[in-house]
Amino acid sequence: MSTAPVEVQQPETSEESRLDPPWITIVWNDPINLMSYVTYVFQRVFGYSKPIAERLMLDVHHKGKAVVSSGAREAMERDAQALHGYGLWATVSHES
Amino acid sequence: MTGTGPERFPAENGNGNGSGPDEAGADRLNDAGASDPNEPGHSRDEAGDALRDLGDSFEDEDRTEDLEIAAAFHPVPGGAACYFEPAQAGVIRSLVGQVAELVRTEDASAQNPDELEMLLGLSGNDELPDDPVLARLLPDAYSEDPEASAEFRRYTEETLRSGKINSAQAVLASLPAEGGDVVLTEPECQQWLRALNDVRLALGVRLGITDEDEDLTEGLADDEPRAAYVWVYQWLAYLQDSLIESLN
Repeated sequence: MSTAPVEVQQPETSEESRLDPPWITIVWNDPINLMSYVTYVFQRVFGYSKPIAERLMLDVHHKGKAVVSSGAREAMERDAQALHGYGLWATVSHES
Repeated sequence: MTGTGPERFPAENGNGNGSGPDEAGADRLNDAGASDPNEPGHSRDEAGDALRDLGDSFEDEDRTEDLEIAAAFHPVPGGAACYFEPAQAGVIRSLVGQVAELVRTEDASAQNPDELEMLLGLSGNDELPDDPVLARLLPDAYSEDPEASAEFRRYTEETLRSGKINSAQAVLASLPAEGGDVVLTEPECQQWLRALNDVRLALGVRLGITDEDEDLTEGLADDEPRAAYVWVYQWLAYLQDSLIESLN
């Protein structure tokens, strides 16, 4: 299966976002969650297609973590909260 | 992550010559009734009480045989359905109830219960829970910023806790203690997915699962108390996977 990097929501290119680098939501690998479940959650929470969600899931699985969304801090916190609601291990951080 | 799915589960437990999933599962679950202080669910830490003796669910010897078959969901119009034997329903109800109780109990003991904060849905709690199960269910949102994590927790933990309790209650409401045909609507499926996952996270943490590729049954005698938990843990993965498949 392809291990190409997954394209996630690109940061907006407005002046504001250029001045203020975006925040990201990271999902970390864990030994308990099912691969099928993580894929399903990515589809539900982000509306990603199944192929995109699967590639993200495999990124998490193989690399230990993956950036699943990016944007304003408040939006990333909402994403993390939603992912925690599903039992995924998600954190927010500033893109560096 | 782990890939335990319908194709893998029966294979692991059913390898012919009389020690297939059925017999082994029943034996193991019988043995879960014998309390052992070294049992992961009991002694891994102080909060081990939260996942009490699985044996409580198997008091009736006859019912343990009902666990022989790993129940799985299948799709039906507008949702998913599954037939549960009484013992299977008992295991799920017991575990889901225990996780809800754990989440709720800590809730009540939150520090600085402030009326205004409660009204605003804020939590007096801003620290990662000590109990590893709760820490996994209610994780920090910032890996390298304790202050931001605390702030996030103050504003979101109550919602997260109540969401988990709601999911657990939805399972308890739709799964009769005596088992039977359970037909779930799509929203109920969503609640079940979350609740089953919370139970798997709790069991996985208590079992000390750190390697997703580890063969949990390797070197594990059927009569070890841990075997019962491992069996249930794997069955719930199979059940959860069948529910996802039904929704896809």
